[in-house]
Amino acid sequence: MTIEKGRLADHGLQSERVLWPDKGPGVFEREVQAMERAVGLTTLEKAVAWAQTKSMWPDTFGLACCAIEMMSIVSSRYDIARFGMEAFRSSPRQADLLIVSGRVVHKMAAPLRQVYDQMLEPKWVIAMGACASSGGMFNNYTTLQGVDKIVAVDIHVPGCPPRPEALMEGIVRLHEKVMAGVPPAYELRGVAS
Amino acid sequence: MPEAARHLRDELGFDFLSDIAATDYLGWGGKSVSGYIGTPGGRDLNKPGTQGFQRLPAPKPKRFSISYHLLALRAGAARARLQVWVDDGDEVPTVVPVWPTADWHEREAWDMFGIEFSGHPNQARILMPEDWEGHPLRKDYPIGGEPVRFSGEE
Amino acid sequence: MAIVERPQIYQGTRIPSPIPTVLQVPAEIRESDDVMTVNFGPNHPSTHGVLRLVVDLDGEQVVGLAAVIGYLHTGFEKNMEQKTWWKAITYPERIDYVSFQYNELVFVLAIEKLLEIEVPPRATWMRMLLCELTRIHSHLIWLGTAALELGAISMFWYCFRERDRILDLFELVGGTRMHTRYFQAGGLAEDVPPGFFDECAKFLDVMPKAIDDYEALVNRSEIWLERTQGVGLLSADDAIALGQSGPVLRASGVDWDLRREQPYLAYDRVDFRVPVYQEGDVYARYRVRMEEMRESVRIVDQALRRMPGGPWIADDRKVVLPPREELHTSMESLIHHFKIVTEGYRVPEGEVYVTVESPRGELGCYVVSDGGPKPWRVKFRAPSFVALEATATCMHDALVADLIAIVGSLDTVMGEVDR
Repeated sequence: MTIEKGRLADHGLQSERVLWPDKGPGVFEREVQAMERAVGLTTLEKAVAWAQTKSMWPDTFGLACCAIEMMSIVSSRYDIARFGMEAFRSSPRQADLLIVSGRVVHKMAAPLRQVYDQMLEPKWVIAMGACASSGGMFNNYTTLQGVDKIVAVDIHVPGCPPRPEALMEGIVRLHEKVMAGVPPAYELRGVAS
Repeated sequence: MPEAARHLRDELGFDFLSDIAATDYLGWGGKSVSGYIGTPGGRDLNKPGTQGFQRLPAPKPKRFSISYHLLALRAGAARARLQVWVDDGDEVPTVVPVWPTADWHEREAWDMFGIEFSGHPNQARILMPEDWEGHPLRKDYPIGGEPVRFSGEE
Repeated sequence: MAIVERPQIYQGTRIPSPIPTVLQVPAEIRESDDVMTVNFGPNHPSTHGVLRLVVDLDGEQVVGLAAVIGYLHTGFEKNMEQKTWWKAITYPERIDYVSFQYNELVFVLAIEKLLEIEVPPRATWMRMLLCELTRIHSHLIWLGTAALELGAISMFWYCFRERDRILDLFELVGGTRMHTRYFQAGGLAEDVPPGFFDECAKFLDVMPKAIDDYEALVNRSEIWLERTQGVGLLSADDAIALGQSGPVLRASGVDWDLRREQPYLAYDRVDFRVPVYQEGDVYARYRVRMEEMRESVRIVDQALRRMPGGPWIADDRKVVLPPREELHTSMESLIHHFKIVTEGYRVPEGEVYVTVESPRGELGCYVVSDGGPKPWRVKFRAPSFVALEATATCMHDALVADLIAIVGSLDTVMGEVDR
């Protein structure tokens, strides 16, 4: 049996968002619509939110294995430039988004918080992977059990490491959150205990 | 011990220090283990009350062992392991003058196990933060971390 | 404690004494008060992970250097002591997360050596094939990121294009792109899926031309040559004294490759060259890795053509799960399955040190077993840990721009350094 090349769409695979078109929008889309109606952005705020999402520049905070998958979304197959995000800024002062990719240990927690503090508001944080979200498979003396203990996280992306498409799903959901008017996480909640 | 190291390097030709691995044997032999059936130390199911587990692993002379894994860069790739046994608080002379690569390996052994290397030029914490207390890889150091909470429980 | 005298092992050593891993500011420059200490902190634009370099600069010249590591120390070794042998195999992959299957391989080889279990030839050849693909993958990431740091930004996209193709192959065989966890004590976790060998052959058709493309991009580029030739010199004697292995050692003129000297898997049955260069600079390391990629393609080609059929895992039911059909009919199989899944198989008492030639050098695994279901001690000898020890020696008369080139050429993966 050989595998024939072709686009996935030719084989009938479609993205999650348009599956079962007769059933209407999915749970997430309905929640986003509900949030939009509840928050009720003005036109100016909508325009600002649109601009924020269309060029949200990430900070180079690759720590471990997830960093390799984060580098591969910059590559040409899982092109993140189509979201306007290929400019990974090294200086946190110029970055909007902190993608914590990899396991954070106690020694690194201080630099992480420092980088987060140096970012200018509004700023968002994606905890990429199992280790950043919850400590992953490393439940021990040295690993921080989830980066939300020191920074306020907007989106957690599961996986070990998450596929580039999974990270992009997380980024797209973050964009939809921002467009819906949800404030960044530091306004909503503090850090976990 | 430095004479042994120099002898290995100069006369026997082990000029490459691959690794320095320290091991903590606290609690070794506390649990009896089973042998494989058919092997000399194999299980004897006829021995009453033991379920076949009566073999204890061979006891170790002291608490810590430091294994120096050496390699001779010649055809045939001869390998040797030099093992030094120490107790808690003992000092081991450093081999940095013999194999300079031992610098960071000995620092790591000090950091993780608390084994002091006398004469080491720069014995400081290398993997843990500088102000960390305790030596993590010892057997009496807890694994740490958090208890996992499941969403179903109250 | 007393400071030891300078390690005078070999003539003409450039090891900055008395601490081999620290480049110390010479006294006359320190007195002139012109030295500025700069911190290349753990989070920095270059892409090799969380390494912190505390650098003393006299203008643009690097006169002092100390590398601070530990920002990714995850406690692998302690975690592996808490898990059974089977579960512990999942951990080593994340140590060197760029050439992940090598860590798995070395740990599984250590377990098999203690168990004295015989691995069927199909598993051996398949392991070798996957490991050589992992070597190509690792060198591609190195090339992409090292070139990115030196300013050859297009190389990043070219390398990652082929790297995604290799990850497609891994996904085909193991189910996930990275950290496949495909090696098991005794062989492979499952048989090779149909279609893999054809896809692999298609990839091999593309790869040599791709390597030619990479070389065409930078090999004759004036900027690349200026920035890499003559930079970061490491003599052969110093390399051996500092424990270097792999491409760094071979670029310094020492003809040493564990695949040839101490063959494991099926390396004694395939034909490959070992590239050795004499200069010992960054450019030599680059050339060594490019040629290693070509040789890996040849090895994968030979492995593809000579792949034996047969079982993919050993038959020892005390260690290997029985096939699921047998569980319905055979009581012993059910008991074996139960024991292996709950308690875990027991590895006989002993200690063993196994090494393989990973893309970074000699990756070693020292395993001590007490005869129980959990490892007593696992230590990984990480080649990048040792490579960072040589940073100070390479940095003897370097500028800040050379610093980036040198640290990039040592091909360090911080997960491996800190474990």
